[in-house]
Amino acid sequence: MKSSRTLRSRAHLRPGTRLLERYEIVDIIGRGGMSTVYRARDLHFPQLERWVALKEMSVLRPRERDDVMAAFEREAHLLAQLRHPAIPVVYDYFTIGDRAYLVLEFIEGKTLDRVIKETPGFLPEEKVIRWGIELCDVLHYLHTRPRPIIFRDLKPANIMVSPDERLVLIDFGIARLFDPERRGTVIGTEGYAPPEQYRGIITPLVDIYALGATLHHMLTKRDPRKEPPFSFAERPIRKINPNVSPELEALVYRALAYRPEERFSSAEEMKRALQALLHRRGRPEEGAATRTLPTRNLEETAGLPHTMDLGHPEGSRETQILTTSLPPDTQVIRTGGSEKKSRAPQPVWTFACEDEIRASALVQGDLVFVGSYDFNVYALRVQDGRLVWKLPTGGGVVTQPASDGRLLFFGSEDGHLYAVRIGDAKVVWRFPTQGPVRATPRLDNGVLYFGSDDGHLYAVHVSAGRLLWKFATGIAVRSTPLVMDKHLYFGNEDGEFFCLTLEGGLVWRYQARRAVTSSPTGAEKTVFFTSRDGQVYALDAESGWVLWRFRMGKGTVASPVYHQGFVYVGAADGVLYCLRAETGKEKWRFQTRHQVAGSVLIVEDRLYFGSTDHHLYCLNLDDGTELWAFATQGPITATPVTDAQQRLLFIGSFDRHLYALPLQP
Amino acid sequence: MPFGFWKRLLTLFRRRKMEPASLSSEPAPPAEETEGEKPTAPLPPPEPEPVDETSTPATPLLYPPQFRVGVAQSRGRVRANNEDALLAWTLTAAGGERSVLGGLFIVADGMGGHLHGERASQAALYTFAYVLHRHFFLPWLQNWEQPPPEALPNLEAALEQANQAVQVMAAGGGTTLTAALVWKERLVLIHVGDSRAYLLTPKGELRRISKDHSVVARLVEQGDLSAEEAAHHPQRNMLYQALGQPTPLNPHVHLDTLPPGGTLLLCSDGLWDEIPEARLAALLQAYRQDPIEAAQRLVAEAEMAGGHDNISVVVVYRLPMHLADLAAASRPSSIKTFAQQGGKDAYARKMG
Repeated sequence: MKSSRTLRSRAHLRPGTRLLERYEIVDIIGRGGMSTVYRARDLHFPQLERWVALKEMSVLRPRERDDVMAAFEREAHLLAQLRHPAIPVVYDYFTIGDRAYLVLEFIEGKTLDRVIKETPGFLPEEKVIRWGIELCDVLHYLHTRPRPIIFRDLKPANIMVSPDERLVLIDFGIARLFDPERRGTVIGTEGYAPPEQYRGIITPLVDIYALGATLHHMLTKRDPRKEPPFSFAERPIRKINPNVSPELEALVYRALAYRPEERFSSAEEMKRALQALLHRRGRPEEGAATRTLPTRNLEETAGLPHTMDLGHPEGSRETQILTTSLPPDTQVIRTGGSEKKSRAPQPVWTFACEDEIRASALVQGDLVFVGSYDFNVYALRVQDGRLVWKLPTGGGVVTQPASDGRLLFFGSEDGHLYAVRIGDAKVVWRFPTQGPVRATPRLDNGVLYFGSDDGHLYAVHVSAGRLLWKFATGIAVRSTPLVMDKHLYFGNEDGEFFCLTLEGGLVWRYQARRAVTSSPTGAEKTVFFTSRDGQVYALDAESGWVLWRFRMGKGTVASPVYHQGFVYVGAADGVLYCLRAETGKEKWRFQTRHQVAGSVLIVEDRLYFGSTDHHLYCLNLDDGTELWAFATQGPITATPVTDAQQRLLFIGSFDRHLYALPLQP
Repeated sequence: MPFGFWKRLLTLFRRRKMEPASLSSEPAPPAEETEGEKPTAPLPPPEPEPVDETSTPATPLLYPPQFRVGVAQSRGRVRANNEDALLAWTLTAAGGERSVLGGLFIVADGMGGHLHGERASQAALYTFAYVLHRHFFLPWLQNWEQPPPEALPNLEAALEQANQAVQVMAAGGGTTLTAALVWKERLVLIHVGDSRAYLLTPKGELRRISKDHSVVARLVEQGDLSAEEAAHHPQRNMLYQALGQPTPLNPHVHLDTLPPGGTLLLCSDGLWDEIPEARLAALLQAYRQDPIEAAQRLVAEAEMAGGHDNISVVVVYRLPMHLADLAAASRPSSIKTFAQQGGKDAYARKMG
């Protein structure tokens, strides 16, 4: 009851209300905790539409009233003494009852916050630099008043962009009130304030940090309010927006230094640094050479007609800038630059089959096995790639083999699952199905589980190829079952995803929108799988409850890999995604030039995977930056594998070769 | 391969009959090599394994799975009003071979320095519960043979709507919100702010599964403050995320399990600000079998320790699988109430 009354007394002024017979309320343009900003018409100029901004302050608790009103008055007097193009002019100040009003210059335009949000792609670097200079200029003005003024709350939401692209600071919000006697929860930072501000240390360097945060937000479009405080270093600018020059990135990070003494010592110093950057950029060759990888030339040309204005006609000063800018949606580092390839390791050996290698290899002891579309399975020595034996089957082998150390098991296009003795390549048994076997068998506790294009999942005993049971799904099963906590998990080409007991009993079933060709992975009682419907799914292993889904750019046949709280998976959009396993939120992505059909190999802090753009990539696991790319002559759909000592990496390509690459420590 | 092996395998198979694949388009034909083995009956309810050594496999099963829930709330000794809100809602159902144990548990803490904190926490809590019922529980009741609707998208939507509700119904106010949605053994936690969630494992280890969205916690993460300094920092309750603010939400999400014999604790900072974690663990463990008493005692201790803020506690105990485990665990006499220990000074001595 108490609250409803207070709510009423805080009611906003209706449009049409007149104050002092002079200001007619038009609408509300902003709302804060204790203040409301209206747009009003100044009736003293009846012939013109002259707008003013009316900032209203209302206080309910009498205890706070005097403090708040005093603060408000301070803001009025403070503003009235200032003269700067980036600071709104104060016209008047008055109170009516328990409300106080400040009449300010009405700044047309949008807040910088909105401009950032509504700009497709990224803001051009030059524009950001120019705005940075303008902000430094006004901060310098404030910091050098006879009694220095610290803005304390610089952020895009407090900056207006006028139609002629001038920046104006709004909300000298002294109204941020604390109640020092009272203990309890309060809301503080919005992501732009430096650490020392929370220890009550307020110096001009607080504004420098906030300006750095604002520039970071402009350049990356990553809203710091959505991130933990002081985490800008975890979102490297050039990783998110490679168009930004290293010089500007360094400059922003200097402003964002955790320790105040490592920042620019003044707004003036920061302004000079920004100006120096701008002058350097005036010489196009230099700028282009340092900023652009050779491979980007293509996109650059394609991006030429792309405009990045804010909906206002660009002055001629911007034209030159646009020609050297990348398309704004280039968010990721493209690969394949020749300089990078030269850093890729050279193969220790290669082995040529007679036809494409589509499947992943298997390393067992000192042998590596790989199936080829030439109908053969090859056994090669890990050490030097020498052929130990090859075994012809009745059809192409497109799956990775499995092994128990004595026998090798693999499916074939001829509809059989083969069990071959590793020692002498003798076929010990073969198990017939009614369709090609395109799924890698899963070996668990002496039982092989595998799918066939005849629509069944089979459980076959390893020793004699005896059928234990089979489970009909009605359509081809190409997904390799996951065995976790005494259950089997797999999908079929109809998009059905099954959980069975190890005895073949159905526990639950989930329907995806399109085929589940990939193989699931699991961890922490969660199953992860992908579908050609373009989604990554995380399901509760016990109940089949969908915990989250993640939408990729396109469908996929690639299997996800779980590693220390993250899920890594590629898709037909050519992207390799790194997702948080708990939430399905993206941590980073890496763009290749064609579909990613295989899954990843993780060795220590590096991640390896192939793309149908012919390359094998090596990325930094933590942030997805490219370390090197190794070019083959054909698409890669297999997953790289390594030996027990993790000395070599093996990858097959459609170019018929199996490559053995050294893994550096 | 000796014949005996196959015989054993076949017996095994006869005993554990296959469940018919009723959902696939064609029934599974009998397995070729195991003649005569037709799927004839559904699987019996899965035989659970003993949770720990104390249980004898022969004791009766506790079926269906159940929760015991206790809650407690206090205005504290300093505040004039109660800006906390809590909610506990459980779903227990069993029929045929199927059983479901689900629940929704929420704690929200309205902002002290803001107007309408009281309204904010309730607006958030009821809106959140409403959205989840409408988009999670009700659709499942209609479609009970399937797993329930998706977890995270619905939780995020509920949080977003709660955020809007606070802005509309308690403009200028703010609130934390910590919610745990439980389905069978799975627990999905979502929260903004510094109302905490803890799990007490069946073995008695207390684990915090929430992450304070407070600036001080962040300074600790960065190594700028020690945990000790943080515990006494004047601004330790300053949040960088809360509902009711125009800033975009970035809730913390955590996936976990609430296994048989495990306990979930949700609480506002009125509890954890007053009582050290070791003491929380001891009390939860001591009154494990009786969450109602556990909750009341936790709140009572927080009051005795100062009661500077509102206190809200939700304790959810998932019963163990065997009746014997339930009976076996009894209250250790070593735990004394605060008063028995000789008041606040003794408490301070004991807890350091």
